[in-house]
Order: sequence, then structure tokens, then C-alpha cells
Amino acid sequence: MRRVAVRLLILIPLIALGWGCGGAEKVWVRVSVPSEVDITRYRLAVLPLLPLRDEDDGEAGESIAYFLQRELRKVKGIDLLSPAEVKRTLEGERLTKEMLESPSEMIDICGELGVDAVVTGTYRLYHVAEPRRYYVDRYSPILRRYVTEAVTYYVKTYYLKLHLMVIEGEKGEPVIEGDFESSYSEPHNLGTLVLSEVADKPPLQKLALGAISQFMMRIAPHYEREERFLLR
Amino acid sequence: MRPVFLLIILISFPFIGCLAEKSLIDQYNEFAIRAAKEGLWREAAFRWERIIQIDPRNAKAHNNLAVAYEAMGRLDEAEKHYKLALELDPDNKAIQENYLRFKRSQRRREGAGEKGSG
Repeated sequence: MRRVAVRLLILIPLIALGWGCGGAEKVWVRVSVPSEVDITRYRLAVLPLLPLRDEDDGEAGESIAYFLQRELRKVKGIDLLSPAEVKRTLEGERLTKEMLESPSEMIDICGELGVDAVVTGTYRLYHVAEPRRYYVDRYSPILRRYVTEAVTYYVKTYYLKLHLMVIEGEKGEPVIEGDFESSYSEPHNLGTLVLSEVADKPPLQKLALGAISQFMMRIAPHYEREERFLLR
Repeated sequence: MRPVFLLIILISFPFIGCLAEKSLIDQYNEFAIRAAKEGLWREAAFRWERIIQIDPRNAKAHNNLAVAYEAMGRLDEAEKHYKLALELDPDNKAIQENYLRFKRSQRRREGAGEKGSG
């Protein structure tokens, strides 16, 4: 009895002191993240993106520019020239990669379009098909035990690499530029792989939006989730 | 035997009083944490403000209130409470980490402000 009493004597203050000594609880807070440049200061136009490799027909470039235009329109207070107006103004003109690097050419283009800056860049769209193996255990009635078998399948991965920039019309130089990429994979067997090579088009919208969203995070203010600790 | 029990009761008295107050603070804190995890920051902030009224030297409440203010975009008040929390409990790693992250995002905002105006 006496021993119990002594233990209680020690335990009660300890429990009282330790009361509420909980840990930290993780929570997420939304933190506003500003953009690296204030694109709302400019009157903007989106030019078709140019293929990085000369053998590409450049068809995807116009589609990517369209998706870019669509995402830019979501930025509050943006002043964007319509794609139809850009097309009409640049009718008959052929944009080249060399022009993007030439400040004087870019000053001229901005002047022609009547904008303060243009959003443009280059792209590379390609895919890779690779065989992969996975192992499955199958019960063999003949051997009366489980046997491991290797199954081969193919992973077709599409890649889109964008080099995007905002070129200011005053100096003809980029105020911001960066490389952005996205990929999309799909599994195939040999038959579907061959068919997809012939018939399938790359999932351009999915790829473009993935890469463009990274660019948008740099040029438009947005919210990010950050971890904080609440204490018990 | 009796003097031992009497001694236990005597020693326990101050702690029982302390427990009662702590229990109220803990209840508020638990409720506020649950509210915060549901995204009800206003409700959570109200509870932590009450805790600070009861116990102005409660570093945890100051830290938690600062997090709530930060989530609500009241950044000046958040900074004030982070600083108070750090003053009261300078060795607390969680408070240090919160304040570090708060300052980092503040620097990002200020940096962008300078770029934007420049």
C-alpha cells in the first residue's frame, strides 16, 4: 500500500506536467505566389510555336499556341490579341527560329501586331516505345506448383518539350523564358503498338496543358499549398 | 499510512487547479485544430484568440494563431504572432520552421513586388 502511495506521489506531478504535451499537427495553408513578371502590363499576342527540328511540319505549333492562348485568357486583367487578328496580320509571313533570336525582327513583329510583347517559342514533340517486363506467378496443373512467367508489354511515351518566352517589343528580347516539358505514357501489346504507330495521334492537348501550366506558374500569380505546423 | 495520503492530496491540489485550466485551453486548442484541418480558419482563429486571452504567454496558441492568420492572408498579424511565439518558446522546432517558411514566402512576395515595380 505504501509503495502504491509513493508511486502515485511521483506519478501525479509527472502526469500533470506532461498534460497536453502533444506533438505538432501538419496543416496546409494556401500561400499566394507572385509571378516573376507582370504580364498584365503588356498588350500581348501569341505567335505560333515553331518546331525545333526542321523535319517537323509545324502543325502542332499552332495547336500549342491555341492552348497557350486559352490558358493566358484566364489571367485576370490580361490584354490579349485574338488569334484571328494575329493570323490576319501575319498573313504571308513565315516565322523562323532565327527571327525569334533577332531583336530587330521581333521589334518589327510587335510593331506590326501593335502589341507590347509576344509569347512564342519552340517545341519538340516525339515518342519512344520501350519493351517492359513484369513477372507473374501462375499455378501449373502439370507441375503442380506455382511457376513464374515473364510477360512483355510495351510502354509508349509521348514527350513534349517547350521552350517558351515572352519577348518585349521595345528591345526585342525575352523578359522571361524557360524550358517546360511533359510526358504521357500508355501501355501496349505488340498489336496495339503497331496500330497506334499507324493510326494514333499524340495526345497533344494533355501534353501541351501539362507543359503550359508550368509556364503559367511563372508568369501569373497563383496559389500554392505550403505545410505549417499547429501545436497541441 | 494516513499522512502519506494526506501528503498526496496536498501535493495534487495545485496540479488539479492547473489541470482544470489546461483542460479548457486544450479543449479550445483541440477544437481549433479540428476546425483548421477542415479549412475553417476563422473559427480556429477565434478559439486561439480566446486561449491567448486566458493565457497570453501560451506560445503554442500564438504559433497556431499565426498559422491561421497566414492562411487568412492577414500577414502582418501572422508575423506578429510568429514573433511572439518564438519569444516565448525560442527552442521550439515547429515554431522555428513555421516562421522560416513564412519569411521565405514573404521574401518571394517582396522580390516579385520589386521586380514588378522595377
